[in-house]
Amino acid sequence: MEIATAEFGALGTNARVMVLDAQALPDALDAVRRQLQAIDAACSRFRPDSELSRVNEAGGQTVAISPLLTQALEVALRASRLTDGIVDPTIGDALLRLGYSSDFASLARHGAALPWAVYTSPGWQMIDLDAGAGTVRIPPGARLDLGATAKAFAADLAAARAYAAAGQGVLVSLGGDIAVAGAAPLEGWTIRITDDCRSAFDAPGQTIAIRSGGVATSSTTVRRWMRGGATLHHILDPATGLPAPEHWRTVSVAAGSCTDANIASTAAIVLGDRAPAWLAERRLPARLVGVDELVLCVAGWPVEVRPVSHWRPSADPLSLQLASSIDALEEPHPGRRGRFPAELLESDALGSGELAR
Amino acid sequence: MAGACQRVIEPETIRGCPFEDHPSSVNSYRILSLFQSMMASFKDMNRAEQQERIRRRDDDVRRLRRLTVVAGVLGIGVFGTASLVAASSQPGRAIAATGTAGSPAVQSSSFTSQPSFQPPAEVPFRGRSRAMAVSGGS
Repeated sequence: MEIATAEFGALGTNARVMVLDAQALPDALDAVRRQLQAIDAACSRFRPDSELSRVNEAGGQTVAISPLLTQALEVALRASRLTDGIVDPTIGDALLRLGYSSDFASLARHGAALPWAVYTSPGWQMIDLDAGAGTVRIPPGARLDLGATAKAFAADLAAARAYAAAGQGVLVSLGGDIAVAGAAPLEGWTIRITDDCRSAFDAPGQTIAIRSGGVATSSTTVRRWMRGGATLHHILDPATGLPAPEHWRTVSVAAGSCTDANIASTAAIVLGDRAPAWLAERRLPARLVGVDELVLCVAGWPVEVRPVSHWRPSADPLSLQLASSIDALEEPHPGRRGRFPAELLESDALGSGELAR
Repeated sequence: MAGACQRVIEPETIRGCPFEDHPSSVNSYRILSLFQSMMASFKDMNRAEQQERIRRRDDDVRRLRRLTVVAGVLGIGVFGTASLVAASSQPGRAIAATGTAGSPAVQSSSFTSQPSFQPPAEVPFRGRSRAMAVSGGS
């Protein structure tokens, strides 16, 4: 049986569909396309004719919405509940203030300085969603952005749809948010984990495999733009309305669904040094790449090179917290040299807990 | 008198007192009679108690059998329900439905109402074949 693959552009990124049986590809592809079109029409912040834009422009009025947008909003609100508001769909206005006002492909990468101000998003609790009645109301002036959840949710839905249509195991990747459904190949669905979803299969990173659920990666290295000489990225801390401080450059998470994986990877970027313990506590296998390119694997995520078993934490609270949650530390990619060179990873210098800063 | 007291006592005489004129003998026979009736009652009681115990044991066995059957049925029910819930929470097995505007929607309660994160059924493992997809920031 030969695995068939197709790619096309969707949701401002690239979509990749893989099916275990080549003959089933057209049916799977058709199902995925229809699902993604429906999601785009419902959830896009950049399409003036989308349902979400209608909600954002309603000026505090109650708006009737489709079952699909209702589900997408339920997913976004669940994400907020699961992360105590670290992932919050009411950051739409903050993104606009930072200049992220159009599809990223057409966004000017450089621009004049913005009128900076510390801004707090209205908060997800202000969203009045009546799922039974199919209505939603948000405060006047608030704007919703479903970027943190809608794409992964779309991948899950598309994979389920494609599997139902094709009757064969499928993988759907939407800009690096990957969902699988049905039977997997014997060796599992093989996935390259890297910074940028547009990278080649041999880009620096790690190759893993999964048989069910989903994998998602959030990174501050993509979707970056400059305003007034300051570099911005798209993962905001709702508490400040500003890009989250860059502790991790990339976080990849595996979960029972792509949606959950993406919620967790986004939250981990915002959580910073608290992320390893937070992920381990939730039994979510994850790979975290620091801005210094040190790689941490937690909750059973496979280690690419070798574990540093002799690393001992210092009495520093952060170091102890990391020690309780980290399965292993990875050597930085040979092509990159971070703050901790490879030879240091095997030396006794690690006994001081320096790695944990 | 002493001779009278030495008479062989026939079993049937125990029921009455043939020696009204000899109070001590009468008392002896009364005591003997009482003792023998007590022994008989005791035997009867033992028998009754034994029967009661057998009855109780039979009741216990019956109750245990009934409990086993109920527990079995409950166990099968709970296991079946858990299996159904687990199966329905798999994205690939979500129940398909159609939205009002004709747009395809999937009733996937696992994405909207699960009260906690859903860890993977199996942790990722090292990929041994050529990568098929890339997961990275977008």
